[in-house]
Amino acid sequence: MIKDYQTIAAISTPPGEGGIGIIRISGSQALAIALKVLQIPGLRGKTPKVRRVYHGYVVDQSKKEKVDEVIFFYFKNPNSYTGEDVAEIQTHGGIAVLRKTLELILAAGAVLAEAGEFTKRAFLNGRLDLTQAEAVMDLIQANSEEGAKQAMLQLDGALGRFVRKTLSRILNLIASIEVSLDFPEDYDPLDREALLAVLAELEAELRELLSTFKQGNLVRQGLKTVIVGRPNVGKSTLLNSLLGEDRAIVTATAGTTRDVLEEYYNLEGITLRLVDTAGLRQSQDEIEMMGIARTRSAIDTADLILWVVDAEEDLQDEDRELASLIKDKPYIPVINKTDLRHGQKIAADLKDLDLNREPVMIAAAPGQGLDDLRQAISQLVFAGKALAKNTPILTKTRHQQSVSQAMEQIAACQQAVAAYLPEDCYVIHLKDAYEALASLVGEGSYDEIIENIFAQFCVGK
Amino acid sequence: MSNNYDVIVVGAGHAGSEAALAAARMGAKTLVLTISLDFIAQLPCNPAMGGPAKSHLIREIDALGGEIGKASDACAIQMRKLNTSKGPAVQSLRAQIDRVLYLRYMKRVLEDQENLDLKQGMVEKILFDGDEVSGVETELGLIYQAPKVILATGTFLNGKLIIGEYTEITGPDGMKPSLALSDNLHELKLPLRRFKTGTPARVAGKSLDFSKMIEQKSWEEPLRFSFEGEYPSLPTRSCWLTYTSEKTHQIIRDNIDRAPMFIGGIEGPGPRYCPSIEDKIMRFADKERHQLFLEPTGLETDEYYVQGMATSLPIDVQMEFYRSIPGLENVEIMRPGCAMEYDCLDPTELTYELEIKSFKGLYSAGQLNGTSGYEEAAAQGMMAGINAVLALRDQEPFHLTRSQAYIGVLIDDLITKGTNEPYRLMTARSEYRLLLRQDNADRRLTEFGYRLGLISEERYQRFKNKMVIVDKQLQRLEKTFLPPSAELNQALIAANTTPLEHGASLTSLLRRPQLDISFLRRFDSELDALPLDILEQIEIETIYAGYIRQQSEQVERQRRMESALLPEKAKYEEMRGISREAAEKLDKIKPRNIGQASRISGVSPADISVLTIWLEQQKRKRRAN
Ligand SMILES: Cc1cc2nc3c(=O)[nH]c(=O)nc-3n(C[C@H](O)[C@H](O)[C@H](O)COP(=O)(O)OP(=O)(O)OC[C@H]3O[C@@H](n4cnc5c(N)ncnc54)[C@H](O)[C@@H]3O)c2cc1C
Ligand SMILES: Nc1nc2c(ncn2[C@@H]2O[C@H](COP(=O)(O)OP(=O)(O)OP(=O)(O)O)[C@@H](O)[C@H]2O)c(=O)[nH]1
Ligand SMILES: [Mg+2]
Repeated sequence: MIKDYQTIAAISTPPGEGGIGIIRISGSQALAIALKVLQIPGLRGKTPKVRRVYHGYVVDQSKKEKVDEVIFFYFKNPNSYTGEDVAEIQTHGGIAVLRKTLELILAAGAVLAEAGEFTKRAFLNGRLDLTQAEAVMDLIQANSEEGAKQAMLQLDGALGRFVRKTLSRILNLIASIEVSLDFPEDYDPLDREALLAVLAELEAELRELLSTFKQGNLVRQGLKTVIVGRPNVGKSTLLNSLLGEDRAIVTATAGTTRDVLEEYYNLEGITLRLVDTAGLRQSQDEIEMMGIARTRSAIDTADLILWVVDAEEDLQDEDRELASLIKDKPYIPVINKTDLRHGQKIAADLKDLDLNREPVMIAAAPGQGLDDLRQAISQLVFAGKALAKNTPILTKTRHQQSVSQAMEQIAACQQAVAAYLPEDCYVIHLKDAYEALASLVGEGSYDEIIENIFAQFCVGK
Repeated sequence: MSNNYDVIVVGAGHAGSEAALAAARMGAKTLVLTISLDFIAQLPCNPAMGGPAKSHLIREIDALGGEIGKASDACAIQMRKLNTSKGPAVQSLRAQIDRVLYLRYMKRVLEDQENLDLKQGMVEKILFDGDEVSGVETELGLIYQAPKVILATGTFLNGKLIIGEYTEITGPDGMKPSLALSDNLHELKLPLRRFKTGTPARVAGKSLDFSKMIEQKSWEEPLRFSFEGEYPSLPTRSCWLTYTSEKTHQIIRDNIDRAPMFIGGIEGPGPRYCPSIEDKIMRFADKERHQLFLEPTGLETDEYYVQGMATSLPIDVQMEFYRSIPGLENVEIMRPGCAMEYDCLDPTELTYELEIKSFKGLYSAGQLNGTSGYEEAAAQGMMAGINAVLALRDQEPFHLTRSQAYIGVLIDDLITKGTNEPYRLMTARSEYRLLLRQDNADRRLTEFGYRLGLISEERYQRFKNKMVIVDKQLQRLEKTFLPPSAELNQALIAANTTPLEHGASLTSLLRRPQLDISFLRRFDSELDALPLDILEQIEIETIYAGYIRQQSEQVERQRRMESALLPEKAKYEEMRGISREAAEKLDKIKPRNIGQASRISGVSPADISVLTIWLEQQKRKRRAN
């Protein structure tokens, strides 16, 4: 779909220090859309002044609840980054809130920007100079190739299968209506009851898919996977080796990690939010104690816990304490540093605890046993019903937007059928539903619909 | 006598006739050359005009000042309205046409047209002055000169008739084929392709048992294609519906190895939307029966056209299977069904004006461009005729966009996407179907026709008046409130809808699904006094306002893309950031604007973004210099 002339929005920075993130909206409707999701006490119904910083709230009107406290400002064209009207909203509450805000903005009428789209508009509106043209062209093409690759990867699984199946069902509906319109003498009038039944089914399926996005804070914002253990057992090393890069500081000194650190990690299409924590022990150090308090609260909110113990040592009282702290959570005991010692001793100790779980043996530093660990995690995750491996799940805002558009159109089509509007109106909705979904798998054009008519129907003189 | 013309039209089929009439009516000195003067605007296939999308085309041509609508009305021996309950956008008219009357009518119109000479002659060669056309030469060596030549030669180029194993080089209906011209086009290095079409047998009415068929009568209600002129006044004739039997299918299956498509007698692809009966039976094996219509071909003849049963099977097989159909047990075939194969052009070689890109002044219209159907041909003919004259006068070309007319959809599809089989227009091909209705073709196009000089001052004033009335009434309906009278509420209850407590606007009442404009007429004397065509438009514009607005917004977005013009000389292969496939296509099609480029298959949204940036880059470079 060509998005020119539409108002676009995107998260323009991921949350940084203190959880601040920025959403940028650009286009003729930027201000109107921003105001739909904001409540700005200082305004009292007036139009905001250009470039003035306002304090306010993002509000979910449907639930009448405040999502976050935000800073808002607005630039008028042509004096903005893109040369269009631009609204910016700064949120504070971290990634979840940032995404929720974006969702509200999209629901208010903006479309999600393609990568490179702000820059493209900036150039087209004369905000970037001529020398940057080629860089912009390269950027667009590279982004589109990358996007296509990503889409392929993501949509190979259950979601991809579901979307393709749904597309072909919608296409069949369109074709059967179109053929009765264009070849009225060859085809009988439509069976409205049958059509309504199929539409209801489609709507229900799409609705269910959408609910995986809503309930799926879990999946969408990442399964919060907390790595816990006594100091120096190798928690930060494990995080680093799973990510394949050094994100956490690793030292031989116990108590290195003093605050909670989060990173995203993709495991078979499911996002894990890996959280490294400060090692748990009795401590006098004030900063370390605060870290420890955070670790405890991280455990409370964890979806999944990796409990690391050290193969070189015996099980300690602190370990036992930890075990009781996490026992009601889904967790996996991980024996680390098996390159130094085989870990049978501590495995036996664990067995005595009657945990009823098989520990996974790894050596985080040289990167051994990580596959086993990944498998154990995936088993634990997919064993839960919500995340059964063959059910499609929505994890991306972009996907959610497409599916919800498709669902709305299917619903509108049902209304049109129910209101006895004529058949050519049904096709308008079905076509929109088709295009919304097709954009998700990057396939499908209207020409295919025409092809389909001929493939399926026997028409003509 | 001078042999110098402004415009020469080669062929007097549906494309040629409209092309010549448009050119002559715009004031250009026009010559039509055609193989036989006894076959002007011949209907070699179905003796029918209209149907969905096709009837839309007829209305559009009529709104622009063309002839096909009036001719069809004058020669109709049956008129029906199709899709009446399926929505305003797909409603359409269909007429049975007396073929002989149609030829005579069109011949007379051409003969009577000022500025137009009609002559018999087989064009064998196109003459050039450099890269520009200068005239044509006939089989007798006669030379006619003109700066604009429109080819509208239909299915005649290297025409080949096929019935079973029998083949013959010929034009349709036993007319002479056009051979030398085909060779000439080869010499001009125009890539020609082979397409195929087919037709069913014509049978004797007296050998049919109509008592076994279902009658389909002409509608009582007066119906016409043209926005003007007379309603059809000829006596009417019925069509007759019957079905194939299991035996029909058996006979065809048993003899399928003798079908030309299996013995390799046919090279070109045929249109999938009108497959031969053997094709239908093989491709849709589980369909138990196929319907067919016996259509009268004229008032003064007993020949019936067997619609739905096109075939090129050997004649003995044809005789056998036609007789296996209920009502056709004793049928006598008068002319056998046959397939026709012919040369045609790749339409992506054409511009929006239907000018051949490599030869200035040479235009092409109709079946020669890979389409099929009388209406499709006529529409192209008209556009080619208009644009040839405009080019002659160095005036801006005349285009219709996809949101303005089906004519625009047709031409844009052809030149942007090309076609691999004979192209037939369908309403499904339009993305703005609710805007391109047949009731509003005049509103969409008559203004253009007037400015081109194809619509008379008188007709234009009548049209303006009609539009004023429609607009006024639409506003009035919104502002006029009916009070909740006892009579009204009774009627509302009788129509299964809720009675009024307060006053309601006429618009809001009309939008109730249970009510229609004839209901309102009972309670509003002003409406009651209006003619039917105006009421129809008021009703549609009111009921579908939401959908119409939605489509109009899409059109606006599209329009902006169409206004970003791409230079003709752009070299896409050298352009940075465009995918290889897209570059090749763009270089071949040479789209006029970003909108057209976006419809070329293989050109992605990212390519379009890059093109947009490139355009801006060029603009700034020019400004800098
Ligand atoms: C067997 C058959 C089956 C068909 N079936 C269908 C169908 O099922 N559905 C459908 O929609 N349409 C069908 N058609 C197509 C329909 O008839 C055409 O689309 C339509 O008539 C095309 O109009 P035209 O003006 O392009 O060409 P035509 O109507 O073919 O007119 C061509 C004109 O060019 C003239 N001409 C050709 N060569 C020369 C020359 N060298 N010099 C001078 N004059 C020349 C001819 O005399 C003729 O007047 C069929 C046609 C045939 C022949
Ligand atoms: N040989 C070996 N050394 C390891 C392994 N995993 C971690 N180490 C080492 O153990 C020490 C502590 O590792 P960290 O990852 O910082 O441990 P931590 O659990 O994060 O410690 P705190 O943040 O202090 O709680 C470092 O010197 C690592 O190099 C392992 O699998 N094998
Ligand atoms: Mg650490």
